[in-house]
Amino acid sequence: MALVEVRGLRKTFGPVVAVADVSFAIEAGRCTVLLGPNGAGKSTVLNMLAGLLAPTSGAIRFEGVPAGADHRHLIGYLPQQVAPFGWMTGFEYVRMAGELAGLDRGAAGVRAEELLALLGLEKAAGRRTGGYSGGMKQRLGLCQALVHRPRLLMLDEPVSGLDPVGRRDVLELLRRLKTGSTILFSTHVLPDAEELSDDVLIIRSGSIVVDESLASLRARHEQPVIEVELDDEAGLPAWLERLATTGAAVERNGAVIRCRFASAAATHAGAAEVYRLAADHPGGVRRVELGQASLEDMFLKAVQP
Amino acid sequence: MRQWLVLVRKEMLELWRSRKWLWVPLVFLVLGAMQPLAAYYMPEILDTFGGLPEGAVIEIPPPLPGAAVADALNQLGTLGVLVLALAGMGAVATERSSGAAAMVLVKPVSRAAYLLAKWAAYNLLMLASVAAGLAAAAYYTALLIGPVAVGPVLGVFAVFCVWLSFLLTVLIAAGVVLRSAAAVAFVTLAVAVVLALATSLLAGVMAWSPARLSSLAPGILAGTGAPGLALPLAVTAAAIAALLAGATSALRRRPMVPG
Repeated sequence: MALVEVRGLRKTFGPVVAVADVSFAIEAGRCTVLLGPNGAGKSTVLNMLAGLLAPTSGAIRFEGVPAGADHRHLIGYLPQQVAPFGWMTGFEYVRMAGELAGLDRGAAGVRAEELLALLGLEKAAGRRTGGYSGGMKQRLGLCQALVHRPRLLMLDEPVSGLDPVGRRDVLELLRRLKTGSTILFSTHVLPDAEELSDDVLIIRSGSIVVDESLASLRARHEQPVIEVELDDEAGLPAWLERLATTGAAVERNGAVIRCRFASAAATHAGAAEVYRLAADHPGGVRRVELGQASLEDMFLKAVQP
Repeated sequence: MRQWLVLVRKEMLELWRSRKWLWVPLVFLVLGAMQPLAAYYMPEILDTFGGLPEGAVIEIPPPLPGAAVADALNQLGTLGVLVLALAGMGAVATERSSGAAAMVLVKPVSRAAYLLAKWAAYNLLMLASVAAGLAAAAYYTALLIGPVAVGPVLGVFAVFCVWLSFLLTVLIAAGVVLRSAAAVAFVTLAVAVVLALATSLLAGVMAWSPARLSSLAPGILAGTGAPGLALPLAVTAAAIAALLAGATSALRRRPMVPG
């Protein structure tokens, strides 16, 4: 059995259907991303898994936990808004979280110190959390989620409200945590998902529309592409016509021209011609790049109604 | 049970860090001491501020010791309740709306343990505060007015605390249902006032009312006894249990998500 199995999960708030029908499984050791636009139902799904919201219908089963029994001891949860008690110090907060999860006071204290050091909060551990910055609160939230070594780590938008540095830090941390733990995190940003996840769940208006491993999504949707970014658009129409003779499908997005070929081999063959043409462009070229198209197109298609 | 103790410790620490452990008992102490002091110094007070004609003789019989303590208790039952309601109005509502409660309840903690920890902590604060207030009242009464029997004071302490504990239970339960802390305080005070008024106006029908625990106090202190005390005691205890059970199940059904 998978670590978690979710079947036919549904949540309505009065007439509003927040989650229509969600089923998926999470295998132990995998990092799964729950991806979707704002309001798609990501947080609702996570809150139901965390036991904060009762599902209207459907079942959540954890490996080794009888149906209907409490599974919260298996979960570490980082909510979207980390709200520690402002009058507690960081250390006290993480220790209390550990005690609430069943550790005794001594063990919880040791573990709290260890985690606070791991997340770079050792200097702030003795200060009240009321004075913590957003990034520090996020890291404190991770400490309290990890304190009891949960089987499943659930993170609701772990990097959305952070500045670029904080975001970098948290992503780096998650990458380190990835080995050996099972993670389910939500985001509305595709690059974060691509960076970390093994499996991708895309949710749109309360239903799962994509449930696939990142590797197989990549294999299906990624194409080699040559991107040319122009300095100036002088003489562009004529140049685009010449570009089309290379056999590439040309697509323009502002100053960025994308040339797609039918296959990797064709890309190779066509690349030399595109480079030569780029050098010829009357307005000058800022950048020419041969690479893989990201999953963005696929994502946009999946999340648009 | 273990989790409950952890949460009680958290609540106590919060009450301490927010200085509620200091100012709530202090207010009760002052309220308790003021009544016998005012009764004793009333002639002087009237003399100073009364603006009575020259030569007027003021003869105010000093109150009986029991009545002086009962007056003090009356103050605790009005202003003291107000102070307790203000101190505890955010206990549940604020934690719920900030998301702090959700972060506690994702741990394997029962809803009952979460609520009972708050209930226990605020009850301890209340017990200490009432003890301070009554002790001050009894001390100054004994000092200035006349001897106070310890037995009735202890008895009235127990009965009065059951009434306040009932109001604290309303306070905690209202926090589960209402989002605004001010509304929680309002509901609690409204319950106290309406019950007390109804009990004094409709004494016949309201013999069971928890507010009788407060209105029977003068009799207990005067030594004339408190007829029919068992009924309101039993009703109040049952009401506390029912409110706590109802609040727990309401908390289970309520989404614990901020916003």
